[in-house]
Amino acid sequence: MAKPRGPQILTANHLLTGEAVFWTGDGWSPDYHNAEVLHRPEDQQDRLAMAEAAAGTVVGPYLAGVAEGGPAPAHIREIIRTRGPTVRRDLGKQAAAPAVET
Amino acid sequence: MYRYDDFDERFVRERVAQFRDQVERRLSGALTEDEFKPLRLMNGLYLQLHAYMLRVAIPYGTLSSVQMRRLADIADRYDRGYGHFTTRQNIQFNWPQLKDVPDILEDLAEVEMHAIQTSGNCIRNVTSDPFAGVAEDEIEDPRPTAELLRQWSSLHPEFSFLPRKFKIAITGSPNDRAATRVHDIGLRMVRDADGRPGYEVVVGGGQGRTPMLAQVLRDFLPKADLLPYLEAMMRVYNLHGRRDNKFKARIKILVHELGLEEYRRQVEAAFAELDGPSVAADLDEFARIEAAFAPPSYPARDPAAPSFARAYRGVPDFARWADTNLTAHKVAGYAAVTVSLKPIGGIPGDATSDQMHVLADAADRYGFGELRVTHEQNIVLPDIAMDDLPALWRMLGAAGLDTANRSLITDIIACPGLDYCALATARSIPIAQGISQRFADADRQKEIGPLAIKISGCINACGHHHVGHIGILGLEKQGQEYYQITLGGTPEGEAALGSRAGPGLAAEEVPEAIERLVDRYIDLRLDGETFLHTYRRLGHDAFKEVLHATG
Repeated sequence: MAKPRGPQILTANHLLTGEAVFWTGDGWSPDYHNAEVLHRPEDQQDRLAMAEAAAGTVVGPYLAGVAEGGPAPAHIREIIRTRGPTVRRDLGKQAAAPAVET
Repeated sequence: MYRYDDFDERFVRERVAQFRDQVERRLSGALTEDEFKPLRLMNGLYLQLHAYMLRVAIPYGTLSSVQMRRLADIADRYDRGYGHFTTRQNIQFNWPQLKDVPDILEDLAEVEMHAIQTSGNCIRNVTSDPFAGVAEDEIEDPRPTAELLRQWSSLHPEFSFLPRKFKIAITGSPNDRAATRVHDIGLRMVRDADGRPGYEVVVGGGQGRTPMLAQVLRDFLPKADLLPYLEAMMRVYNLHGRRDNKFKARIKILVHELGLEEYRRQVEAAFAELDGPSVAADLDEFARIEAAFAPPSYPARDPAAPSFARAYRGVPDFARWADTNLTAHKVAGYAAVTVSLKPIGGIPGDATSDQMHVLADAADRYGFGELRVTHEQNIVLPDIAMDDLPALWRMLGAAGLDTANRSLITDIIACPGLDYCALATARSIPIAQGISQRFADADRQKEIGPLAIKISGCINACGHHHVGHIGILGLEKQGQEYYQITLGGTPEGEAALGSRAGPGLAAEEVPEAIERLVDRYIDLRLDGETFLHTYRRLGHDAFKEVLHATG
């Protein structure tokens, strides 16, 4: 993965369910709206190291770039992770949320 | 069908117990993810974008109605009511929870199924012709050999940690419906001048980022030599295959770098050194396996098939389906039926649990309880009496399983792509849906004729785009998906890899670009020519030039 640039959020998958989760500053949330936006590279690397060291409840933590203002992710892959399959709107996080356009 | 013996049963049950313990240790924190990941992958459990994904092996694509029903039950009990049939004749569940996976494996073991070796650098599920055992053009049924290879390769101590994953395909017919030329090893059943059965062995094929067609290593390998010869092939690969570079680790790269002659020399030397009899299949065991694939005792049916003929004359939709979705059977009065999992605008390869139940019931009612999964992501009912076809068609139709498009432009292969897959760079399914909807008109599909569109959402090529008549590869640049088109590929006959046709297209441009290609073909084809014929006659540029046309 390319070296992170700009504001980032910390994301991973939940150990039990595999669901995409986001670091809020004091825990993991399935909702990216609660994600802590990390602006400084040293904070980003600190949080990532912390998550990797304490990966008891999540799997594969990594940093993801956010759209301007954050915490909404910028990349199509990460946008799909915050919602669910674009071809099955009845599945994933989007199933419990108001309809959104991709 | 093959049934587990005591050894198979014990081996699968023991593996379930092992994995249950491994999951418990992961959940308790006794195992780290780094320690657990290779263990879960050995049991087919991946982590994808939204959830875990469990890939269940369907050996050589053959399963019973009992097994299909169990897959439906798993989809309902542990997943979201559907499954995805893959280009490797397996099924994937997209939403299992880690804690449930040991129970799923237990449920699978009860019906003689598992998820072992559906991932990892080992010999994967052996794939074969979905019409094995019933095809009119078959030299010999490839399933006993495929089952022998399943047993030989399962937990093979020497070949469980290969440089990279390893895929073997086998066909029993001269018309290759198993894509043997794009596998690490391909086997084609042949007979020598004296009529003795054996195999043509091809090696070094594959897709992915470096697509190659397999080359002939042995024109004729006597049947009895199969396992020793494969051991020799694998041993040379295991010894010299690149472990330092994942992208150069497949056997195709080794064969390419050594050269076919040198690889052959080393294999023959290793073969000569082996204690062949100790490796070769036990004749009694092979006879036991062959007996398991003895054909059912087909009740005699009227070859004139009056019920079929009446429906064919009187029901146009039935006639259309019969024209596209039936394959000639070696027994008079019977046909093999392809059930399309490609409804217009649907998700290629997906089936709901209700549909799986209908397929199982249809197999029991009309087809000796047997089903096949095709590498084109459809289902085959291999043994249907012609006179039962009208009733079967109605039964399938009530479940949305009567799409009449086998091998037509809407019978599209597509990998899960970026809607599900953690490796994907772009979405595949919406592209397939867009093309399917654009060519929804059944008469137009028929007019176009056989045309294989295959879509992959990344360079790994699970959607077989390199061997699509029209291949579509989804890529990403600066967060934007785009699609490269390849033309002229095919896994059959004189197999060919597609050639890239110009720069990539945006997703919304793809269906229209495909339409321009199709229009060009219709304009230029001669009587009886398929898309591939016309492409080969006129060459790449004749089509490439319309792909990016505007206005």
